[in-house]
Amino acid sequence: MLFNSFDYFLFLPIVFAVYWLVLNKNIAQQNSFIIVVSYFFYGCWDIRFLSLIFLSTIVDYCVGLQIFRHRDNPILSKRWLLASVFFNLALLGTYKYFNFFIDSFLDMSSFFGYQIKSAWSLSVLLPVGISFYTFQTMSYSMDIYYKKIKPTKNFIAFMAFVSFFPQLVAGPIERASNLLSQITSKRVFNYDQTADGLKLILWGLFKKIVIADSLAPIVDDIFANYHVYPASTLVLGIVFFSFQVYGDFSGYTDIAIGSAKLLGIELKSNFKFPNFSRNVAEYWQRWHISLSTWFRHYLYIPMGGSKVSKLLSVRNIIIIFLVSGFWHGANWTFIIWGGLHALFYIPVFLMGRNRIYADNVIAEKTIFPTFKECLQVLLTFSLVSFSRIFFRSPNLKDAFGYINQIVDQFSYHEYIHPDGYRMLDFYLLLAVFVIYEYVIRRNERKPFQFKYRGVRLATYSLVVFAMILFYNNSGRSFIYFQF
Amino acid sequence: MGKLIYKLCVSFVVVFLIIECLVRIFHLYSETPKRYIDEFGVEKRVPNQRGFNVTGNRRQHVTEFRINQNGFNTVNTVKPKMDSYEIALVGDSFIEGFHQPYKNSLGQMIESKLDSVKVLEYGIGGYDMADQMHLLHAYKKEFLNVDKIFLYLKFENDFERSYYEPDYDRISRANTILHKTLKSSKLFIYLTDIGLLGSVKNYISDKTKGIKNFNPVYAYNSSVEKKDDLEMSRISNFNDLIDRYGFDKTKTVLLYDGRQAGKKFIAFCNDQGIKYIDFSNTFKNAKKETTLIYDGHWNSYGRELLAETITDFIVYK
Repeated sequence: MLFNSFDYFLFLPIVFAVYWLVLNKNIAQQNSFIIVVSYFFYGCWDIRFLSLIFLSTIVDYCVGLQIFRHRDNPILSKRWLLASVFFNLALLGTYKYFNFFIDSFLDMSSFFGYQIKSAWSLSVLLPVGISFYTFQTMSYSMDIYYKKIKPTKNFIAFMAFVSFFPQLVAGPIERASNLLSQITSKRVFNYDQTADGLKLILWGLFKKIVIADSLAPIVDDIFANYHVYPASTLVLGIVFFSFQVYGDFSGYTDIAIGSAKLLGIELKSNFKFPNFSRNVAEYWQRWHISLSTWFRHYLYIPMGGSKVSKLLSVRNIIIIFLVSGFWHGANWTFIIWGGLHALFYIPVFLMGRNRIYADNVIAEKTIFPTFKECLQVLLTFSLVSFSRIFFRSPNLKDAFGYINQIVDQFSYHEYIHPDGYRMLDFYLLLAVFVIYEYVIRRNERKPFQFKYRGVRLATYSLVVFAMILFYNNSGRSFIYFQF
Repeated sequence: MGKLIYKLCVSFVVVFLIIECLVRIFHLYSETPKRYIDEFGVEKRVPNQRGFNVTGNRRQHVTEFRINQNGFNTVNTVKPKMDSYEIALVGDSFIEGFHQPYKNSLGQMIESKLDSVKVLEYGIGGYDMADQMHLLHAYKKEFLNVDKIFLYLKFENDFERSYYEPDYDRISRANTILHKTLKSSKLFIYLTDIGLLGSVKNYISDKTKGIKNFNPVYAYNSSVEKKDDLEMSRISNFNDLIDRYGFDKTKTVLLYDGRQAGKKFIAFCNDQGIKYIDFSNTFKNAKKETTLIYDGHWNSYGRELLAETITDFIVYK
């Protein structure tokens, strides 16, 4: 069930009504209801993979209790933690990475002259969102191991925590300290929270339907036929893909956070206007925040983080970005993408500028950005967009072919939309979108924070109007569901 | 909760009204001229209507139409005369041509290629061969003075009936209060045009079908025999139509895309001495797209090619 489907627009109001009107007296009933609807939500894709979520839930529930039980015995508690990590990575390895390792091994053998016939490839579907929920359950066990939280004995609450439908298939990857604590507490209906949730859902739908889905056919066309297009079109393809993937994923996240708000639960922010980042380090503090903080807390800091020598810190950064790339998909393109980000990040880190924008936004106290800020934003956007050639291309050959074509065919030709639509509409759309995001850049949770009700209503109307103007009935899935 | 429902309702109404205004201001909606059934039982447009046909979400393609005093979208309002050379084009939406400026229709293109020839266009969206042959029969006095008649044929769906029956239900449905109320909202028309309401309708019908459908679903048999049967039944319907309404082989020509017609049908035409123009090769060898991107009707280039084909036929045959 997609967030941008009619199914979801029937599903969500029904869940909301039953949750608040029928089950509002009892948390256990509300949590049980969350489990039922979450399993139904996930089962709409493939009922078979519900068993994986259930298995992951049971394992980490038991492991969490065991780690806590043996908290005074570091060896035993570590063993239990490793059991959780091993189990979750095994799930990921089987369903997501097995074929990649086999294929890479065969390619390597062939490179050294050994021709081995593959009889080992698995023909399995990738369960939707497996990378997200396995990381969430792993973080639960690790938080108990690092004594940040205590395990819950309430299995129903833990099941609801793992399967909570708004963030089950593409995050934000939640920590037990935030989500589980809310699930175990009594929720009270709050008008402002619900209204904020609805506004976020509207904004998320706008980003998905108007930005991501309307740019998708253009991006698909350019990346599929890059060998016939000049550099100007290929650059357009990269820029549009940047907006597409941002609209798609942040749109999904806004709908997820908004849906959770309707149930009285606050999820963490996952995007904070990354397109206005002034360097790559700031970009990673604003893009897919739940994943980057996950890697920071559970990989980077345990490896020493930046509290070791510069050389070791650089090694840690490289590892983090390569793993992050690999997390996205079992393909060398993602690893190169991660490697490029490491390459962009390291100079910022060595200059000590990786945290300078952590607590402020562009043009923090002014209306317009400075010329320097504009240049910084433009450079960061260009670097990030360039790396996305690897993110978007199906394989390394195409990615390098794309870059090669930019260099070889360095010319300008007007691009014509594959379905014949006016391109001017899309340029105007993006210009308005960037300006609007700039206006609301200080608070990603309140996209319609206007003082006057009339202005708010006019803005809602324009957003809905844009959704109608750019409507197409393709019903595209979300890009990050594949991860 | 009450406050939430109240505010949602108010917001919904205000947003609806604002979008309704925006749709009207930017004229995003398409206008459709009304239909009626005349005293001869012919379904056509109410005369003397003007408006704009809009295609695509964002006014991708806007054309003006003008319904003449005879109830057809065309520049010419003259009746055929004995002392001049007239051609009649009869067909469905391709001939009616809301997708093209009425001053640049297929008929106008033919006129521009042939001196002192008038082209009369009798096209109504949804016409099949029963409609067309009934029209020729009903207006036979008028068509007596026409020198050449081209019937546009879409083989795959124009021979589904063996006789014509006016669709009074459709006309009365269009005159119900509900229909008129819905049509008074330009936003409603626009949402229907871009397929959004269609998607909702399909979704609802799919869901209800899932609940109600206890009958087994029979897969469509696409075997060769089935296709042959279908072709034979279409030919038989055509034969019945000829028997019922007549077919002047001396001046009536079928205009069709041969990529869709079957071999048996072509053999039947040859056998019966029915003239036809198969423009499939002209379109196949075209250097540019011949149809509009948004709705599949002939674009200006497609009409130009067709006008040349028809002109050649008139001049050389």
